[in-house]
Amino acid sequence: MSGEVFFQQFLNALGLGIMYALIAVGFTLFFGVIEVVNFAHGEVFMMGAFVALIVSGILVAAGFTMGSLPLFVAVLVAVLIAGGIIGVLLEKFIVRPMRGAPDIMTLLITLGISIVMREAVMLLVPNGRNPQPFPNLMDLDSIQIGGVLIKPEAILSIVLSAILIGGLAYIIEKTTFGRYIRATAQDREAAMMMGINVKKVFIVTLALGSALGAVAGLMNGLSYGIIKFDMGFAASIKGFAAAVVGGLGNVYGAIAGGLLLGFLEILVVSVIPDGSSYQDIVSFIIVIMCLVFRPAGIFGERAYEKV
Amino acid sequence: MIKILLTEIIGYILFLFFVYVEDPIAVAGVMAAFIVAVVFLKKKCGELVKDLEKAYADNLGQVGIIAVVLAVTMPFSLMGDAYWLQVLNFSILYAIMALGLNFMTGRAGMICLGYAAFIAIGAYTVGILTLKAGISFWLALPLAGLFASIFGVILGLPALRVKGHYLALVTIAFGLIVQQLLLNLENITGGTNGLINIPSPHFMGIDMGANLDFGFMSLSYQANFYYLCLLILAITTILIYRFSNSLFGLALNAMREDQLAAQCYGMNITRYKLLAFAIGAFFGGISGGLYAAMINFIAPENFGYSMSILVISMIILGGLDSIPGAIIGAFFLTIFPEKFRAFEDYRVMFYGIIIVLCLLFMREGLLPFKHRIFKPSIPKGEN
Repeated sequence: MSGEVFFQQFLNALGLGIMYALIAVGFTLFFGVIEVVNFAHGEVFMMGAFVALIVSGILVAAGFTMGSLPLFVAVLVAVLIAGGIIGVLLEKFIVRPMRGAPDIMTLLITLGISIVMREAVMLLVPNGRNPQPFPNLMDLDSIQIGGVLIKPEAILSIVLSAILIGGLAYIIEKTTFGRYIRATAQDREAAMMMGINVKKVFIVTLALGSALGAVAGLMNGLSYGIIKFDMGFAASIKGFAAAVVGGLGNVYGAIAGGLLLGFLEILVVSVIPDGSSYQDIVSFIIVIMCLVFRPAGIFGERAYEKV
Repeated sequence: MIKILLTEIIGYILFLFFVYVEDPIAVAGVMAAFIVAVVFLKKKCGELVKDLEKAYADNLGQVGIIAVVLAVTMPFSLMGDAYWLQVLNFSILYAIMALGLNFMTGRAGMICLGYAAFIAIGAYTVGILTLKAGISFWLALPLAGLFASIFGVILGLPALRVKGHYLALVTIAFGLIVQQLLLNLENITGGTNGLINIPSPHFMGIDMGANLDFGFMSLSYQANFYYLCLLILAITTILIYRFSNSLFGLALNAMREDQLAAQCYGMNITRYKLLAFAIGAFFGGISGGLYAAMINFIAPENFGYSMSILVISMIILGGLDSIPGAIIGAFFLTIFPEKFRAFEDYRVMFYGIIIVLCLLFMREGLLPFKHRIFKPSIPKGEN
């Protein structure tokens, strides 16, 4: 493999990995704080992309120029807000009523709502069954580094994702509310006794995670230029897998898991001949192996069951 | 006896009404009226309903025999209509799948979101064996179940170490891996094109792909499969019932409620888990094999994630761990949308909404699982 190709693939892997990381962070937050696995998270990812598509259409009609910075920022903010709102709705109507129910029930209800969300997008978006072309929200010149032509969208996605993940880490580690979140994750009852409004923590957690997931959808649209109503399922599985590989509940583990999964997939595609048809199989087998031999994830601590 | 007979005949007539009335609005109206009536009866005439429930619970054998007799007459009542017989065949196949999955997920508490993989394995086993190896269907069908069981045990191995959410991920991944393999192993499975022209089975010289002629009435060929599927559903129900009410079934319940406690009581968790997976997968494989022989055509996209979800929504609707629930859920979710083909686009959404509403408002399902009551058996002649 020549240096240029290697660099190109490295960037691809980084872009894919950081997108998985953005989704995985949501999964891991929900599990760590609320103790649910939200299978509707992939659909939030998908809806983020569709919100970007629709909002950009409206804004262009309102006089913004396609490809300008104000348009991009406006779309980004809209996607963040929309993701947050979807997260709050999910908490209020799906996750909260199921509190105290067996795990399997919570998991199944998020699966059910994910189907409803996916089908709703398919039915409501005009011609929604078919892939939708995603507008080029940000006109950037191609960048050349050492003779390698790089898609600017890739760089933009990577930088933006890194900023968002950094922002989330800052909120969790440095702010007071972040301390509430960490306290709730550690021990819900104790946090309540300390006067923390756990309900609020749950809502904010789902809003934060969902906003990040929605932005991941926007990135996906930007990098591939095409979005489809059923892309949420794969995102769910990959994001969840990345979170599991990193250890559910561990934010940094999720980032590492996402990057690992992204690099592995690109490695399989580029090294094995005809690898793209085995891409998913290889990543899933790795996840299953990881679960069997290190159930707490590569960065997780070994957990013992309480009796 | 009379009560059971009457209620089952009412159900039979309702189904025929559902089939023969063309107007979807009228059907929806009658369904709504029926649901209201049931709710009203439950509220106002609790005694009557309790009486009926007791009658059903005490005379399971009679219930089954009457249901089978009524079901045998069904193709004649439908005048051999190919379309509705096919719908019934599908609902019976789904009922077999739901029973198998219910055993895994409802009884043993191990969530499986890749059940379609077992169905696919069964279907491809029958397809490949009858089409390429020329083996008789009647030998291929048990092999399909057996083969699916083997895969069930293979999936069960990681399930020994993981549970809950992790198991959900493993089973989804398993389903996708199997589907991807079916797509990619083109020289065996035919890839995206699938397997076409799978031969119809012959039974005592009768080609099951030919119409069933009675002289006074000719039933379309689906009737052959209807009777075959019905027989297998009856056998499945009896087997699952016997398994569930055995010590083994009780042990699975214990394992579902608290694995650690069950282990502390000396249960061999490994064995029970693998067995539950093998049994659940077996029935998936059998129904898949029947499907392949009935449709004569299989392709990987038939056995995707959405099929797994569909079977899951059936057992949720019917009530987890409830045997009649699984059957009713399968029949309802297969037959009901058929009348509303104009809203075909909303079908998958309907399944999603059913899952959400059931879990929010009716967590136990239509026919909730009834805990068994201990009845000391008194040997005859002693007393």
